[in-house]
Amino acid sequence: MKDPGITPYQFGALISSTILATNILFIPSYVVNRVGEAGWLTLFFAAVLDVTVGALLFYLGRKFPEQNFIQYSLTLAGPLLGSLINLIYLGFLLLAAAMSVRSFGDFITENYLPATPRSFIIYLVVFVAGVGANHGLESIARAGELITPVAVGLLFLIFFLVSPDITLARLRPVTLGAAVPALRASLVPTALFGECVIMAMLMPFVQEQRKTLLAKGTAVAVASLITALLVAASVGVFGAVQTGNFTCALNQLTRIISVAGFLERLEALFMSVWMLTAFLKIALFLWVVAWGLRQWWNLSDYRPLLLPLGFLLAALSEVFASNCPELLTYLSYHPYFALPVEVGITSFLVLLGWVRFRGKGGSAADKLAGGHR
Amino acid sequence: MKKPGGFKKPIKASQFKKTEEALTATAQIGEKDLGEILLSAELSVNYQMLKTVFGESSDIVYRHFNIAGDPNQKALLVYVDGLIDKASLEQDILKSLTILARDSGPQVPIAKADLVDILKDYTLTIGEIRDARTLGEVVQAALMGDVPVFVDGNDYAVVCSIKGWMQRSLTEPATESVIRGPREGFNETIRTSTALLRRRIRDPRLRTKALRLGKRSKTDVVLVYLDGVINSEIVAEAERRLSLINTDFVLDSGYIEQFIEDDPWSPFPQVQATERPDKVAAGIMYGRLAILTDNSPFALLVPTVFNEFQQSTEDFYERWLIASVLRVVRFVASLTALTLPALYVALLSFHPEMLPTRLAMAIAGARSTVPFPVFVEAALMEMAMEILREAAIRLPAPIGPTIGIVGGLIIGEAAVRAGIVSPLMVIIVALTTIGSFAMPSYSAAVATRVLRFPVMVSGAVLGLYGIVLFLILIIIHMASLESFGVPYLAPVTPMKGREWRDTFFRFPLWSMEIRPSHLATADDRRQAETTSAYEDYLEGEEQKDGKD
Repeated sequence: MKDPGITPYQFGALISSTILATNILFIPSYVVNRVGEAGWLTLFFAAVLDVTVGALLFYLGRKFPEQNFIQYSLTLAGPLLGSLINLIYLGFLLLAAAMSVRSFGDFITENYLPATPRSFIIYLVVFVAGVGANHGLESIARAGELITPVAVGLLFLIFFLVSPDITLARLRPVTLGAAVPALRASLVPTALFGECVIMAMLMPFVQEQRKTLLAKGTAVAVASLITALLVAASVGVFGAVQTGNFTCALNQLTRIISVAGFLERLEALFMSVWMLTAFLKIALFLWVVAWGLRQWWNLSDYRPLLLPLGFLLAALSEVFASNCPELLTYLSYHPYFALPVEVGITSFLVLLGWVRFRGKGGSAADKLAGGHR
Repeated sequence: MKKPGGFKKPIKASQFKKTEEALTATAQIGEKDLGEILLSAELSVNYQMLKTVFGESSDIVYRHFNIAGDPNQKALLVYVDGLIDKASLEQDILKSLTILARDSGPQVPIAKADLVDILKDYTLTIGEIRDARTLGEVVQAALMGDVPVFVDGNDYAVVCSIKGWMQRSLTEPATESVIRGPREGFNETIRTSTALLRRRIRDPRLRTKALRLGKRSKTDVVLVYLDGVINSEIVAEAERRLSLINTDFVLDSGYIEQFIEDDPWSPFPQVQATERPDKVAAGIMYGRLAILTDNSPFALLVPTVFNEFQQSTEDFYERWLIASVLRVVRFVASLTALTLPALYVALLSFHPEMLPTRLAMAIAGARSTVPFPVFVEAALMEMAMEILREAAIRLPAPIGPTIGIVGGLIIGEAAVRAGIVSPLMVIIVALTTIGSFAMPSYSAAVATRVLRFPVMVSGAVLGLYGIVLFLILIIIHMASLESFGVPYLAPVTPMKGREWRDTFFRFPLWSMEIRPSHLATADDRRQAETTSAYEDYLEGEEQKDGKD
């Protein structure tokens, strides 16, 4: 019979998909544009930073095993400041989802369906994600468990199929001097990786909570590894300059695949990967925002919130940028908005938690309850 | 109803006179529930009540007789003609009570009031016998093919079970034929079905819980499960759902399926229906619950996961390699049946660049005379195929082949010659149709058959993007489905790596040691670690190595 909640594996799958969905589209070109040949390095910096944030959230999640971000932020920071934090947190997640939806719309209309209005694509994907969110976290997690391995497998397949065209010499030179710009450029991938702060919302549902951090670490490792591989591959195939000038390097990468002169132009492969992961991400974020609002406002059900949230999401993504280059330009400023939320607020809460609930053993919630009695 | 001027047959006043008692007894029939009306000690009253209940029914037979030739010992039996074994009635009831009872009478004093007990103990040579004290019980017994025997002076009847009616012989199920494996299928009599299961599972803990569904049809339904293996919650949940059924008649297990399934709006079947006793027995052994329905050869198995629709019993009778290959073939076939026409439409109308150049040229050449857009062409052909398929089921057997040839010729050859469709389209449609028949379960194949059209439409509207989007919708829907609390996509998700041994592949039987964990069985081990000669050999080798 069914187990309530989600397994650590499902949790990891969701995290992986969330990272891949944002990463594989614009990040490869961006980092290569900034850092050059050593662009793949940035992803490791980002992964390390993200796992650190994950560890902070894990600490909080273990302190409050029954509660999610929305609930313990109110406990830790008080009703007023806590509400402000919740507002920022949920708003940030909604914006992150809107950015994904918008990239989705731009990507599809520019590459595959130039004659189709972007709004149509956007509303359709928001609708499908809304259906997913309506089915609840368990269904999204099960779908994620099914979809993510397929997506990762397809990415590896792409890497495998382009590998004959890679010229290793193009990956050189890798010098120590690249480390500093790589560190600086890794802010953007970090900001995108950092969207995994939804981890804080999922933790109460994970069955074996102890394994959450391990699952998170593995998921981030897998996602960054495959992205780094593909970044290196596209540098190896196109060279740093050309890769940096593409909008979406990986899409170009799949175009050059040629298997025995028969299977060619496999952008559809890439598109399916991107769509599968993006769907998961958007559905998950919609659910998280709706669920968060439900708990923040003490509602009995989150489903009625999905319709307005869906429209809000679609509208936000429409006004997010006026065109694709603007979206790309925004991307380089994204960290200044995202990192304070992802790292700043989390660290603040951890600090509060450490100060207010110091000591060993037992969860904070127990202590709190004991204190009140 | 009184016929004017009709001839009224004289009856013996002493025997059939409507006494006061009879009048009051029959009067309550319309008002009270039959189960609340007690039988009378007076034979004529009981007779009148039965007459009133059954009314004018030509197949209800009343037989009056005297026990052991004693003119004072009147008795009556009633039965529905056609539902009983007449030879048994004559030999074991009538002959026993009228003739044999004369000289083989019991060596005990007989009072009129306990005559029935004496008869039961000494005279009636019937295996299954029970008492009935209310009119409701008697009437129900007669309608089920049992024979109630009334004896004057006793206020209860003896119900002798000598059911016997025409039933179909055990033939191979038409929809689930196998190359290797038993060829028996269930038939429409529930007793035969339970017997077929008993023959396969000789475990005393095999339970066959009976209940009756349908206010008027009173259909027998039997829950079969293996106590000590099945999760008792599943039985409780099934009983709860069955108890909610409050309909007037149940003609087939399909009725029950539709009442108890989790999501009635889903295109996917959530209950497995099968005619094969071996399949049902295997399900029961795994810890599932079988629901047998009288008058239906189809047993239902719950809980059901999608994986089970892709399995054939034959997979387990053949060696693992061929079974595994066939499973992969089936998955490919069902994917083909679902997406092939849609892919064709999407590739041709949105992504022609993805086709290899020569193939694209060939298609363009073949399509040069076709006057329709590719979607219209595909939709036309798929519709034609569906019509052919549906017609083929209902065709009288003698003209079946004719229509097959004509249909095939007209649709295939002539349409291509006339330039209305391209030959490639014919290939696609043929592959799709054949692919949907490769699935072992008809009901699951129907789901793909139905979903094929929306997938095709989304492919025609948005190309590959539309197809992927629709597939995502299907995935999220399937991920949210549950059958009796079991996730529909188990064991793929939630993932249980060990149980993949019986999903896309079929590992050797000796390696399948545990029952599916999603069933949460009370006893999860099927067999010991070492159950094959091969494993035994391996262990021997290990010990040898240890010694060296």
